[in-house]
Amino acid sequence: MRVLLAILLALLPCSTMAADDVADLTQTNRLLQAEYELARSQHLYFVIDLPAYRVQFRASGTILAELPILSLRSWGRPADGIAYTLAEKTARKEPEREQVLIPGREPEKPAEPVIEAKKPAGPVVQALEIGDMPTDYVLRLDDGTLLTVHAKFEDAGGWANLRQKMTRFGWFVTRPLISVWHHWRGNTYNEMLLTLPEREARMLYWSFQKGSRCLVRWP
Amino acid sequence: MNIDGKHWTGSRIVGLQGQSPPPEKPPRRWRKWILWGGLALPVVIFIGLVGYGWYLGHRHGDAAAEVAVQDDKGRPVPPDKLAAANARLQKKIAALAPKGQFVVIDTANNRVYLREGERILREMVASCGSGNVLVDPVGGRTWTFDTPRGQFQIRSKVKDPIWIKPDWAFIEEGEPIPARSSERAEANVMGDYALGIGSGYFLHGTLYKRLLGRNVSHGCVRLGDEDIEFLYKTAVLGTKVMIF
Repeated sequence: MRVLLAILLALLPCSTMAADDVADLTQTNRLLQAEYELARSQHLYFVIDLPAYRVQFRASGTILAELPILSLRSWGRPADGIAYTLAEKTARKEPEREQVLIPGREPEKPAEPVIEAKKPAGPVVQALEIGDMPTDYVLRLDDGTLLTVHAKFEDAGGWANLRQKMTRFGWFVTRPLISVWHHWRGNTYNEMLLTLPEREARMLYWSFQKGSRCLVRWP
Repeated sequence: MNIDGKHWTGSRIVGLQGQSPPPEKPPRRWRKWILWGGLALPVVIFIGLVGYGWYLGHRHGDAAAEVAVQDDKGRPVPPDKLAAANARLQKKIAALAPKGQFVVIDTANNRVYLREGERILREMVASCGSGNVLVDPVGGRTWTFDTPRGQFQIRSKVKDPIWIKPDWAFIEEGEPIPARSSERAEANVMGDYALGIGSGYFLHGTLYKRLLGRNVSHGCVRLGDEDIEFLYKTAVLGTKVMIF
């Protein structure tokens, strides 16, 4: 009896490991199948690999760029192996396109005094550039899953750090209540909170266009 | 006499007569419990909701991943076959990658890369689309000056290109659109070389070299003289161009 028990105890970790391996293989298989379809389509697509803490821009299976994820919090568990579509991007301050002013048709403006100290060092460019992209925003996938992106600033002071910690605390307090609300309405609520370096957060907003396809490997 | 030794006043004695006695208040101990209960109830409800929310947020576990991949007959695929299938899929995806050299354009950082597999052969500073909007005040037509994203290929290679100015170029300058197409031609503005990727978009040289690295173009990708010459001489027709 003791021998049998010992054998069973010895086999228990192996069987758990095997189950984990199967789950991992299954998830990988689904993702590869979905990626194969996307890679054949000639479109750009994004792979958000949460266990590896990275976002990759890909086309035809080729990695074009890779962005690191500094930290990650997840809520809920959406389905695996689905090619999602970016349905909506929302930010507190959306970047705005400027309208080209046609000579002879400029709107009349009162002359503003030019202050020497405020003149930028480089050439003045009327354009929408990466610096105009937001650092904190929400990406909503077509199944309702939210990817909340926050930027981590290198030169952030004490107040910024405190604000970030308070925001994170607020996230953990409010998510359960939002989950209950969605449950009562018959929906499931899934959200990922991603922290990226500042420039990378702006770059993701720039490149990840509405309607783009993406694959997500959940943790 | 009352317990303090003072006399009752007559009016008070009269006032008590013929009236129902005042309602009995619960004992002090119970009042305390009711008060605390009233205060604690919202807290308990809040904690309960948060706890239930946590359960909802974490109950899925790995259930989604545990649903087995099935074969054609609906039977779960064993792990060894699954691993082999994954290896095959990886090979099929890798086979879709461009063969030989290809061009990658990063519109956010205004960079162009000539790559071969994972290897970067040359990194070039560029000017991509400004993202500005031009509205035709007469016809109401609208143009957005973005560099298109996606996969393209080099369709044409031109030395000493001549720019055939589109309508927006005249509208932007506040000039009338010419009736004859010969009036649209303008030399020496696209540099010495141009590589066409379709739909009127080109990788070409520029007169505005100090703006390289900024988003200032009308959608084309501007490069410095040496870089566009290098690309013209290196990239063959059909070379893949991936823009993100």
